[in-house]
Amino acid sequence: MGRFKGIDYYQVEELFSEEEILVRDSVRAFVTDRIMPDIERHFDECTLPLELVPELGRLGLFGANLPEEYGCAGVSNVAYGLIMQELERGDSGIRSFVSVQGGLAMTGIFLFGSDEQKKRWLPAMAEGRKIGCFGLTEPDHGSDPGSMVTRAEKTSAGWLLNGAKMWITNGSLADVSIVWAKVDGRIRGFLVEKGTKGFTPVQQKGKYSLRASDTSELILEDCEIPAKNLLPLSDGLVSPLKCLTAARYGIAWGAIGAAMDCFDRSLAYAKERVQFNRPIGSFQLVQEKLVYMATEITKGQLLAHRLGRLKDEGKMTFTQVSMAKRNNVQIALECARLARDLLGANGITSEYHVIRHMLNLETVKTYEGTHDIHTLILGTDLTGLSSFH
Amino acid sequence: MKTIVFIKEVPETPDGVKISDSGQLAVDGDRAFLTDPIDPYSVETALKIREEKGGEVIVVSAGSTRAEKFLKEALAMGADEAVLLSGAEIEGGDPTATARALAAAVRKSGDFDLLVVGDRAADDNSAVVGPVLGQLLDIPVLTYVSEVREVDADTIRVVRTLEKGREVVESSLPAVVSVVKGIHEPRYPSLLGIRKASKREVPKWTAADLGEDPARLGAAGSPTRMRSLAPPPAPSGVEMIEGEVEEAAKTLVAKIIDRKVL
Ligand SMILES: Cc1cc2nc3c(=O)[nH]c(=O)nc-3n(C[C@H](O)[C@H](O)[C@H](O)COP(=O)(O)OP(=O)(O)OC[C@H]3O[C@@H](n4cnc5c(N)ncnc54)[C@H](O)[C@@H]3O)c2cc1C
Repeated sequence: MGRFKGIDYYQVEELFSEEEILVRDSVRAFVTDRIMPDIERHFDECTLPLELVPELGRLGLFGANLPEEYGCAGVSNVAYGLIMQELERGDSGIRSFVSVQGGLAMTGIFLFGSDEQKKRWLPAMAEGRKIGCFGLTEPDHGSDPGSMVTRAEKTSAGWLLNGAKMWITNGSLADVSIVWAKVDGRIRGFLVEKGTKGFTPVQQKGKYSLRASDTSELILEDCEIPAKNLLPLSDGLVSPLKCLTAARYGIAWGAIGAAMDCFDRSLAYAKERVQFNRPIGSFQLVQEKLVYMATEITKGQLLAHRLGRLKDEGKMTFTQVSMAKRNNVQIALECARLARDLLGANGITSEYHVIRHMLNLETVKTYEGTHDIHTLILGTDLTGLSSFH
Repeated sequence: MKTIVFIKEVPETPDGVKISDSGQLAVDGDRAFLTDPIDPYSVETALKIREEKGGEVIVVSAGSTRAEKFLKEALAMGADEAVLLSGAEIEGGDPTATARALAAAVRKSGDFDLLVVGDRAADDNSAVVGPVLGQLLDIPVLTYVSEVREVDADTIRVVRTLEKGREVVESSLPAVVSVVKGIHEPRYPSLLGIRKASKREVPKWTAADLGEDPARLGAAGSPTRMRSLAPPPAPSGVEMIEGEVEEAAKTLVAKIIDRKVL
């Protein structure tokens, strides 16, 4: 296969600035040279390519759309989206690492942290010297995080945390975990540092999806943290939801990257693979799959681009993000399944990558609000009638 | 230490390039061009020297305005300045005519210590620009450099990788160095670097700015001309041996012996 050039059926490229294109191309080259050669091994062995973390930091990919003042790159939200697209063209697990570090953990500190917390953590996290995670989901509270049972009680020295978080990306790697817990029934955010007594991350095993990513349970048993580790501006469920909006925005772009990779591989395969003395790409049923993929990817690109410009102009709403996350992940998963089919038996092998995308996208469909939860959010918004209660 | 690096765009093969029936190059749109894959190595070599010795790195390209993007990539990697030599009089030059434009740009930019080029371009494979530059400027040329051992104010010591071995060579400065891939792993442009670079204007110098006689530049000033272009011959002589494994293996062995492969 030749150099990955993406798919651009509607000259979407013309909608990007020169800076955005340079950013995309730099990350694209990095993914091709540094992620692709080893990603199947990491997926197979269930490991995150930790050696890439400092390199990702040097490139400036962590919290890339946060301000320079905190050591971040300060790129546009569209450039940030293109970074996510390129990373997920490599692997959803790598993109998740960067999303959680930037979109969730750094964003949480940036939005709700004190000056001191921001100065201490953001530059180090931007460089990849410190890793963050975001603990919202609990074993018994996923789609409904407002019912969480993890709680924080005031002590003379600080806060005492008790409870458990589950499915936490980067949980075992994190130097700092943003843990959401209730104080007298109201959700607040806390910074729990690695090695704090009473805090135990446990890696979750047996995943068939997002294998090149650490997913862990966080156990908090009489875990006492200093008073200054409260995120002072966090207040209520809306605080973690704001972080989720930032990360979902990146997912809406990232999913397109996975879909583009599936399309690229399908197109190449359809032209090369000969059955019945003809390239399979000449059969109308195969063409229909390619046409579906190209059309849905193009629609997804336009949706993401518009969403990015709205975010840059400060006009984006969280329901618009729900629409893009819901749509783009769904079509990416469809593209991956079609690619898997189109590649025949080769489609189930690691060598051809598409089944890895397909398995990964099952997670992406579920996390950061499941597909159906986004349907409820949009349904509520369109009708003005709550679909939750 | 002032280092000038020369880079150029090349058409991407095989996707972007077609050869027409009349033997001409047909390139499929702007996106089919890349910076020559050797270029990041040349830029990295200069940046490494600057990290150690201080000074500045200037990147120069002669050709179409498309190359501006690649100059910005070099700025984003960390180069200090970039210049594009362009205009109808400069474009379409063969390696000699191009080297004349580059030499004129070097003279225009004043004193310098080191010129860095890739060992050969991915498109024409000529490996001529570096040596001609050296000749035009009357300075030593070190080709196929795989390592820069030492640089000081007026000498450079490098390793040249040749077919039959490695050669350690010392030369006075200023000099031209042509580097091979693998001399250093090139860095990726960082986002901050890209942000700074994309705000920069890349100055464009025409033949008139260079004070060069247009008759010696570009297509008009090229002593060589490409008469025709043909794709490499399709691989031939592939033979599928049919039949049962045992039989097929015997046939294969017979053929290997017959053709004196072993
Ligand atoms: C690999 C991975 C990484 C993750 N990383 C993180 C992380 O870093 N941080 C974090 O906090 N969380 C993380 N999560 C958790 C993720 O956000 C949750 O899994 C998700 O919110 C869904 O919760 P649940 O799994 O408990 O499913 P449930 O909420 O139990 O949902 C099960 C099913 O019921 C449906 N459902 C639920 N409620 C309704 C309703 N009202 N109407 C209709 N259908 C409904 C859902 O759509 C779903 O299909 C991660 C998950 C995975 C798999």
